[in-house]
Amino acid sequence: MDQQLVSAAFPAAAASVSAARRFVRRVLTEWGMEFVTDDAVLATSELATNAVTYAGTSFEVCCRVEDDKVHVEVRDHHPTRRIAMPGLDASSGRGLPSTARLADSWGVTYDRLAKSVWFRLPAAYQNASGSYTQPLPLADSGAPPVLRPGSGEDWPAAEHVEDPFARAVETVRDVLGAEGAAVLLTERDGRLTLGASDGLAPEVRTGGLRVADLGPEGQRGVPWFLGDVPAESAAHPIASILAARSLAAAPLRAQGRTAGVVVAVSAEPGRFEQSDAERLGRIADEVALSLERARVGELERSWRGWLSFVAEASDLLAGTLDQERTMALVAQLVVPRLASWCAVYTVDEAGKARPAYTWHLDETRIDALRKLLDHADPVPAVDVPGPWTGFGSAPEPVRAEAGSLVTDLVYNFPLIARGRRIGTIVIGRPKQDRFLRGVIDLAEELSRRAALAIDNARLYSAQMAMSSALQRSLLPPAVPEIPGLEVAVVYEPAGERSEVGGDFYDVFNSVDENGRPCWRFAIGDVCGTGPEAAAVTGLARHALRILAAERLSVPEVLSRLNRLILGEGTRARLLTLLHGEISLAEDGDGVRLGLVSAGHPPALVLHPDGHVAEAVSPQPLLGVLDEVDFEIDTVELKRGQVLLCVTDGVTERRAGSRLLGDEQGLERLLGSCAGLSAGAVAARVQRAVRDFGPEPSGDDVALIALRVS
Amino acid sequence: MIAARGSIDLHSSDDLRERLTSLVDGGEERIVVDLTAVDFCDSSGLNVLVRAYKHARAHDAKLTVTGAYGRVENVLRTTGLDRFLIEGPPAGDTTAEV
Repeated sequence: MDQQLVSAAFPAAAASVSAARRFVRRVLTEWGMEFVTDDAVLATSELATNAVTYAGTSFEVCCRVEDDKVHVEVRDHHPTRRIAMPGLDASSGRGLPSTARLADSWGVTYDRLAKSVWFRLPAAYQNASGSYTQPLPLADSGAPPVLRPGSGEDWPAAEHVEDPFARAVETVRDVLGAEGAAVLLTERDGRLTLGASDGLAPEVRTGGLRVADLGPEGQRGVPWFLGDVPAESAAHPIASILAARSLAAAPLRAQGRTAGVVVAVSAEPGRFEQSDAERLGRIADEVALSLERARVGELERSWRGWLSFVAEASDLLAGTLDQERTMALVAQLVVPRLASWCAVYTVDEAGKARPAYTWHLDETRIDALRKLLDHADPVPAVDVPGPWTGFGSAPEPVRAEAGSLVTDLVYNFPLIARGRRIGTIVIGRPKQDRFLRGVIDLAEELSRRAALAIDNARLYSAQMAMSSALQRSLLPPAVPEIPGLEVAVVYEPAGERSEVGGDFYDVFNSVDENGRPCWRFAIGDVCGTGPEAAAVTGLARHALRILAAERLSVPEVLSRLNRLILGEGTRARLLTLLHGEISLAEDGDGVRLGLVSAGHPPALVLHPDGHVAEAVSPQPLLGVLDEVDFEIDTVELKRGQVLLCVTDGVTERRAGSRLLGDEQGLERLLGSCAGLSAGAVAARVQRAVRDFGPEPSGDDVALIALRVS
Repeated sequence: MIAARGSIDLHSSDDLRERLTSLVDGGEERIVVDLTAVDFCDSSGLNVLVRAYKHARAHDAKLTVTGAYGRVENVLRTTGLDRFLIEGPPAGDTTAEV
């Protein structure tokens, strides 16, 4: 079948994991392979997480059907990065071990440019134990991920498997030569429901059967028989309901309890004796065994569905670091799967919990619910989940507006992150829908993850505020005006500004050796990121200004700065720096630049005809050895010429294995900028860097363009 | 002589760092890192080479690199590290000892 091969590519971003999952779910659903979807989605999720987190590259997901197997392959572009085995850490990816557990077979293929991890699942359902075809056992009804033993209508009834009950009644009729046979299943409320029947008289109605109708014999837990029952006998309701004059029966013992009964009936008296009852007992045991198998398979499937849900939830939660959005996400994960409504409370500075986000299945009731929660008792400050009844104290008009909400069953789950109670999740559903144990467990698990996600979002915004403040302090407040020279700068820190980058630039007023006004500029890149790199950045930037004020020449400044960095000892970092002095040309045409490139990507000069040349000769970067002397390179920049200085975030911008700076890439790019103003050159280079690869850049980008106007 | 392969970057540099440090600590006086099979070296890679170079000097040993080409040669040249890390004209069997 030619339709059975589909692939898609995803960028190296956290959001790609859920995109990959949606892709696999959609493809397998289109192919009618719902029964492996959960497993495939979960395994894909693990592998995609590994690709993004550990390989850090974009990846492709390819699904195909081959030899009755669904084959899914996740291919990243990091052939050498080893596969991580994060182990069974509950809060992160479960890694390959769980792929190994879910899949039929799996493996890793390396080639020169990529690594692909693949797994196979059976394309046809082969296990005779169960046949749930729902993608998640948690349907909108909030059905719990646990099996309800003995509940006939929930039993797997599918064409994939032979129904164990239908088989049983046939066997009973064959072996015992009975006219009719039935499997009756015990419900929690004591009713007996029909699991399967064969050959019963048409007038038989099993609807009203109850366990009590089995009589004292039927409740002893051993096979029994009734030899001769008078018609319409009040002493043996089971016989009269089944229109039997004689019957044999055996309990169906599954999961350590009596799950029901297997009955053989006859309209004739005296058809059965004790040996028939015992044979029936053996058949019942066989049925029970296949029920156990079904239950185990079922539990395993629910467990996988549960894992899928939790994986999905964790992923979604990991995808945002915005507090508001995280809470909205939590509420929408809960509703409608686990409850009809959900409120997320956060604790304010005074320790008071307030509803921060409220969501109801029926959007028109959200306002009433919010009002009710606002007027209800405060949610209890407990450390364990429990039922909550706090609506009683709300004033009558609020209760009236809330209608049936006031009688809802409500549970609260404390949000505890890093040992601190940061809020509560309150969930509710109408009182006639009980919360089943599975739902409570799931909500508790979710609340644990939600707590961490919400707290992460809070910390992240705090860190971000600090980082941007620090980053701002590392950049000059303004660029001075230089007569006849256009100056354009671009600065783009990597990522979402959560970490201070190592790139910096500066342009400032100075005085040359003859006491005439001049300007100095610098663009630099400290190896690494974070506070330690920022410390070196700060040192460098301030040293440049102070040493310039001391009238040190550019090479002297670099030598001094080199020694200052080395003086930092173990905190020293490598620094590449392009530093220069700008003075107005004596003949009035353009400027004279005295430059030193200490290990920095080369500065380029663009001539108006599009010709590009390197402006400086490379000299050692700073922070290696102190016995380095620097020499100045002098460049005359004439009218229409552009000097472009960049950091390696530009030249090492990646697209797969290609770098922007490969094969004179930057020279060619600058060559295409002839005739543009400094600002337009800077903007074009910036856009080219952004558009070069499908993934966002992992490095800071800084550039300075100078053009004589 | 130790040969490195692939990319030397943030993720792969730790192995190389450990390897080079242990060679110096093990008393080797002459270490040559063969970069012939290295196609990319970022600033963390340079950092490893610089640290190893300084570590070797502090122990009266000598660390150089050889075989750099393309991007790697370019980055060594741009950063001026070629002055420290690449020996002048190749002199016979300098790489045969380790």
